[in-house]
Amino acid sequence: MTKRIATTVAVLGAASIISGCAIEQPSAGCFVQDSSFALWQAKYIPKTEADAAKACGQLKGEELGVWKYSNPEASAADVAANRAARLAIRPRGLASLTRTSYKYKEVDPATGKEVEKSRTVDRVTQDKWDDATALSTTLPPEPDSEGYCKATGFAPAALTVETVTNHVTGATVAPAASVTYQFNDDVEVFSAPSAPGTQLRGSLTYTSGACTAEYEVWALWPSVGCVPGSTEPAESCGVGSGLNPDFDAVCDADLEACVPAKRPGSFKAQ
Amino acid sequence: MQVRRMLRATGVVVVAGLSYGTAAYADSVIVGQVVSAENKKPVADVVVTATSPNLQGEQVVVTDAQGQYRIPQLPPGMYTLRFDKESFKPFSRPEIQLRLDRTIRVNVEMLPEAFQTTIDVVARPPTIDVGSTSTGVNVDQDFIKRIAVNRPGGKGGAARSFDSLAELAPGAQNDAYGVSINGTTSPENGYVVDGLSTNDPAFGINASPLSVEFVQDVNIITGGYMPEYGRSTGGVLNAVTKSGSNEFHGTVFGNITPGGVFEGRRAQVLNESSVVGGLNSLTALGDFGATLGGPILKDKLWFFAGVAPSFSRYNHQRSISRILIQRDANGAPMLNEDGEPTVLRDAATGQAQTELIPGSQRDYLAEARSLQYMGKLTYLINQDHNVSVSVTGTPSVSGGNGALSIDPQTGGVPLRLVGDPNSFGITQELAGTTAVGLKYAGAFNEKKLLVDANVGWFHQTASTLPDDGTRPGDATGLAGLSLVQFRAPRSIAYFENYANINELCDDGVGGTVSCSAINYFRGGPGFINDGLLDRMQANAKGTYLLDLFGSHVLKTGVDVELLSYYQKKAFSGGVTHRETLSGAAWQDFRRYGFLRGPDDAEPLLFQEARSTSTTVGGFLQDSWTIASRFTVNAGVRYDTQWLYGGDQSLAFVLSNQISPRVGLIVDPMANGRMKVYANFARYYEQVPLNLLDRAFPGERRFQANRASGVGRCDPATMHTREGQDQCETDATLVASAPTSLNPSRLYTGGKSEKEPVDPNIQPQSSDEYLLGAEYELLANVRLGGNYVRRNMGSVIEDMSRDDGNTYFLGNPGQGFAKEFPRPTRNYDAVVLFLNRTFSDGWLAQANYTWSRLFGNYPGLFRPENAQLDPNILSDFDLVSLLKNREGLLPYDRTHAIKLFGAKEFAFSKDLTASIGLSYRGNSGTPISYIGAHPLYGPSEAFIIQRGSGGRTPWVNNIDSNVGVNYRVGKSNVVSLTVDVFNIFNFQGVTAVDQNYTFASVLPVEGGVKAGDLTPGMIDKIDDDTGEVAGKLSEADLNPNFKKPTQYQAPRQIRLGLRYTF
Repeated sequence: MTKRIATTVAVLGAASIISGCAIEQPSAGCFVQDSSFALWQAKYIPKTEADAAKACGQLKGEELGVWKYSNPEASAADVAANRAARLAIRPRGLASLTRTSYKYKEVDPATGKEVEKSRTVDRVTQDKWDDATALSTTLPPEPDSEGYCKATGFAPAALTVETVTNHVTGATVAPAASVTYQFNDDVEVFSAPSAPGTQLRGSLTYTSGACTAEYEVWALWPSVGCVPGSTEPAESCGVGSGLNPDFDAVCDADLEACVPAKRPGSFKAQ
Repeated sequence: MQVRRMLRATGVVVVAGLSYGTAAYADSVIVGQVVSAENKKPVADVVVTATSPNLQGEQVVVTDAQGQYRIPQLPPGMYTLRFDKESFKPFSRPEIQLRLDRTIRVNVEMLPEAFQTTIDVVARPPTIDVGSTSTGVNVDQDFIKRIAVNRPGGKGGAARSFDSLAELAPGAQNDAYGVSINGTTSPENGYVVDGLSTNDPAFGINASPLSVEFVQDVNIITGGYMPEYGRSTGGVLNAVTKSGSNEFHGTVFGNITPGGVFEGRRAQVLNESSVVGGLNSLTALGDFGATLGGPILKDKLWFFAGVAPSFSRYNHQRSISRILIQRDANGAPMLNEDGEPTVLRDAATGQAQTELIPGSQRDYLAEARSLQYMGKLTYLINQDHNVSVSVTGTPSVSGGNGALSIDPQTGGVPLRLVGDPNSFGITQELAGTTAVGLKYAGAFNEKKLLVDANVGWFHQTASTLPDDGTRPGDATGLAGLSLVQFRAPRSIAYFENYANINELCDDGVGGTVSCSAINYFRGGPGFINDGLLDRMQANAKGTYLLDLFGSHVLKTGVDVELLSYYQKKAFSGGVTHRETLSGAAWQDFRRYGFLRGPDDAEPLLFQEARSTSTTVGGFLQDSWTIASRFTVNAGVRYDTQWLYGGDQSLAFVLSNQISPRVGLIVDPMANGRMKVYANFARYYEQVPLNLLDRAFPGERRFQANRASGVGRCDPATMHTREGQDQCETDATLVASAPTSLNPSRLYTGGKSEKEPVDPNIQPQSSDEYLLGAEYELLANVRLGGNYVRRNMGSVIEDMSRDDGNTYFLGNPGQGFAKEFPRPTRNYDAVVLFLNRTFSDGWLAQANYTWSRLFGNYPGLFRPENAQLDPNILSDFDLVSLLKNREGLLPYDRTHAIKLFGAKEFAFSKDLTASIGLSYRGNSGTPISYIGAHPLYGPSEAFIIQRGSGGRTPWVNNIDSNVGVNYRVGKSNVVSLTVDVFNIFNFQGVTAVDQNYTFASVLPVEGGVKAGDLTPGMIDKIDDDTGEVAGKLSEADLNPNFKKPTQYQAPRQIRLGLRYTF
């Protein structure tokens, strides 16, 4: 209330100067777009040529689940330390390791005929499901002067799974894997009213078995497919594709998905 | 004035002059020039004295060197002017009727004492306001008493609310929340009572349905108004309450509109989509009360007080009908090769045939009660200074204890009760206002400097509460019982038991065709809330009169409003459960709460927030009259509105609202009997606070899925406390697959962020161009016409640049929403009118309006589905739905005719009667072809150009008023009135179903005409994937399309009895 009265008083003075009061709009805070029915699309760029030459340096990009969590009941100390909110990243490459399914053929005892069936195998126990998510410890309430919200303190997201074999044929359905995603302390979400939390940049240390590679991460939201080579705007990340029309986005031929054309913020020149 | 003339003619003391008090709100002006009858030269230093029963004491001014005089700050009423000067014969002009907010010119020729020639001095007072370009009508008690106004039913109908009078003005028509003026929507109007706003701070509609019994005069300004009126992009309804006078006067009154056999037969709306039917009929509504006004100290201190309880009672008859299917000779259902029964259809209408299930009828009472009151003290400090203090209240309560609620925002009675018969009538709607106002008016420097100041507090309650006394956030009673929505295919026999219902509903498919009950509700009340709204207002206005190349009336003012909207809201039981369409699971569909981290959910039983706004503004205007012939009105208004969200931090600012207003009036004969005028005005909106409550910050909600079945969420017990306790455990939660990329597997949602705002957001505005002329043909008869054009400037709306994924608030077509179409709402109208104010025992008004309303922006609510969310409607949300949206808007009516006439008769010295007749005729409204959207549901996609599907038929309405007045004492009169609304019980169609299909579709491109449209031209969308999935088929069409959904209100008779002393 005192704030309002103070404003009122300030303005009664200002109102007498009728023309040209430039009043700035307040910030909407660090906004991160997330929803269950639309995911983020990341493009991974090996940091060095040496990384690009490695077996684990062949990732082109993938879909990410990116979520912001905030605690409206956080203490003032937590708010001051940017600990009232956190960023969670769940990469497809990890989540897809948690479960697999395969088809097999079996003779139906009732009819004596061979029928095709499918079986789903959980490769990790339920208590490990959350290990596929990288969760930060900080996320600021307000973007910096450039419009970025930096998340830090990501715990590594890691899963180790055994080989899954077809119980009928014995063929390997999914090989054993041990994968770790370590997002570094440079993960930033661009948050502005014109693009509310829909571009992300940062870097990632990716480990598969004994191989470790460093990647640049460029991501945008929402993940939309595209047709490489098409000039139709809706099929080539332009107007009608579902992306923010201000985005400078291109169709990645490997991913067949729209990705930032340059390191975020990737916007068209105005 | 007219009343006194009547007295002379008949000797009867007529009620009208006595029954109402007088107004202390003084904003009307008499101006004029005094010349000598001998040589037509101006006469200076004439003492001009104005007296009126409505005026405390008298007002005295002196003419200047040009013979000009001006008497400002007069309350509306009947005046007598006296002109005195030595060497001239004193001259008195009685019976000058002065209306609220008006400036009238009374020029006078005085006879020198020595002058012998007989000069015919015309003593006819003019009624044209020569100082103003504003359009509209002024409704006073002369009119209200003789014409059937304030139709029963509808918003504020029982209380006879002042704002319903606005429909009398040319260019005005009723809309869902009040009266639409010049193509705008009712929440855009400014509602002003005694200088203070009564707009609902959250939604903009009129929150105070103050009875006309408390109102002296209502000025309905439809356009062309000066900068002193702001914060409205519609019209302004300016009401002044009654005040006391030097004599004690009062009334005791009662009005009742009986239902039943007194009501005309209502045409029945047929709808085949539901087996639950509803039929509403009026039981009775009415109001009664008393007012008293008089002096506490003569010529010093007056009082006025009144009380007016009112009530509305309807009967809602709920019934269940089964849909008839083909049966064999034994009555067994005949199924086709797909195993489906075949529905029997009416050959003429194509609608399914139905039959009432015996014993299923149940009557509900729908009722509302209100107790209005007002009190006012007026104190005259001296001739130049007065103060008044007033209190008004309009508390109301509706529903509960088995009775249904009547919506206080619309006056609507529920149409159909699709759910457990015992789950209705369990909440109460509380809606009320309390207004306290203090007003000061003073004159300084020989009435050359005038000061008016108002301070007021407008307090409002708006709550929907369980009738067992529990409150939002309580875990017990009705507030603790969740609402449950059943959606899997079931027979209504699953829920309700009537004799033989299982046999009657047997259709071979479990009753899901014959007695289908989808979207059936059971359990608790669902959404409940407790709202408190406040509007603190202070404004001051200074008027300075200056003579410099003509006469100037300079006005300047400041105006501060602090708005506050507190709401505590809850879903009863903390959650609303919704079954999935397959019946496999139940969703925690509506639940307040947040997620601290993945699957770390914190449910909240309620949410509460206080959103506020501060508006500061001021204006400067000059009305410059040259040679009594030309008047230039020029001015500017400035406003800035700061809006603060529920977290008390600034959400956004709407600054630099600079509204220029320029007008020119020519009085060609300089005698106040004719004017030609033109005006330009820009109007700005004051944004209602609902938007802050909804989106700054957004509501914290999360969802979850739970397993259905015995021992879990069991449909058989879900509506009970025990069933809900059994359902709402962690054990029933259904996790999504671990391969999902949502870090939370049990919950979705839980965010709580503000909606982003375009940093360059512009305030919402509208421009108006006005051209008109008015001529006083005969005494009290004015003929006039005008042309008005209104269009939109910037519009504030929420939008999504990625088709419903993210939203932001901005101006469509501007800033970074440049790829959105610019909102348009172009209103063009030509109005012709002929008005005769009440005198010599009769009055007549006639007006005709031709208009066209075209665009893609309807206003602050969506007429298609009555969504009242000012500035965050769904209209501009989705890029995929923007096609075909520009067209004739729902309130486009090409022709509107309004005729009113009344005549009084005297049978004897003590007995008079009056008859009033009115006719209102409107051409129909445009029809659109509308489909659904996967996210937004029905009524969102314009399949072909909006409004291009033909029109509803012309609607005619004839009302009458008959009144008999009998004098029983010197000044005591008994009056009996009978108002008959819709005498001939016309049952014209006022709305039709515009849903071409309930399937989700894409708009058709290429300008297809309604006659050429076939279902095969329309792309259908899969609701789950959002992708195009083939074409629409005949089976997808709504069988009720273009069928009537609403008819005219039937004939209703209101009886009124009044004793006036």
